[in-house]
Amino acid sequence: MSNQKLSVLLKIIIVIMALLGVGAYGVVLPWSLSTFVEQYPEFSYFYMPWLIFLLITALPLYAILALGWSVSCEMKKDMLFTKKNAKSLRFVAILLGGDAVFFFIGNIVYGLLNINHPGVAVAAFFFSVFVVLISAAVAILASMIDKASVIREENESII
Amino acid sequence: MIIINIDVMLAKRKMSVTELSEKVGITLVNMSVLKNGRAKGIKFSTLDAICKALVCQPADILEYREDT
Repeated sequence: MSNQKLSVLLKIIIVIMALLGVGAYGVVLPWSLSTFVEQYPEFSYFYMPWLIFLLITALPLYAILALGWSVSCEMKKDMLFTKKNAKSLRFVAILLGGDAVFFFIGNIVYGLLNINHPGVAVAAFFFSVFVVLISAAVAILASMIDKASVIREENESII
Repeated sequence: MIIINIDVMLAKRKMSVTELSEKVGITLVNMSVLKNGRAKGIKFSTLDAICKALVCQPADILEYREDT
């Protein structure tokens, strides 16, 4: 597959992810929280803290999508192995890892404040570990792209 | 260190850098980088083409000098 096709594919995936994110965070999340509160009115004080907390976790994800868009633009120009892309991917890894840690800590804090279920906190732990593993994989990829960019630059300076 | 003497050979052959880059088949920018010693390396194919264009030996273009 050519770089141009890959770039277009990546951009389509990013747009779909962004739209799904809007649907999930803008519609499904408030709806499911309000349904939960309607079913269990005694937990009505859960609504706002959880809505705000989960919306905050969405912000790094949109920053990641923006960085992904930037990488796909570079890919279109056949400039995949560059310091800029390595830096973008390193930032993606930091955002992803940071978001996972924030999500886990938030669940623990909410548990201590009695606005979380222990089962949810345990599930959040496993989910966070999974996301941290993905973050580590992205960091390794960033390191490889950084090294590849050095080789590319050296190769280009051999005439 | 390795010194590139393309400019010396160009003067001897009364050839311009543009003409040499066209004969060798590399861009003027790359030829300029090579001529000014800013390249990290040279491919055998480029060296071959330069020698052919300037009718010379690799030793006429490349020279070793002790680092001062």
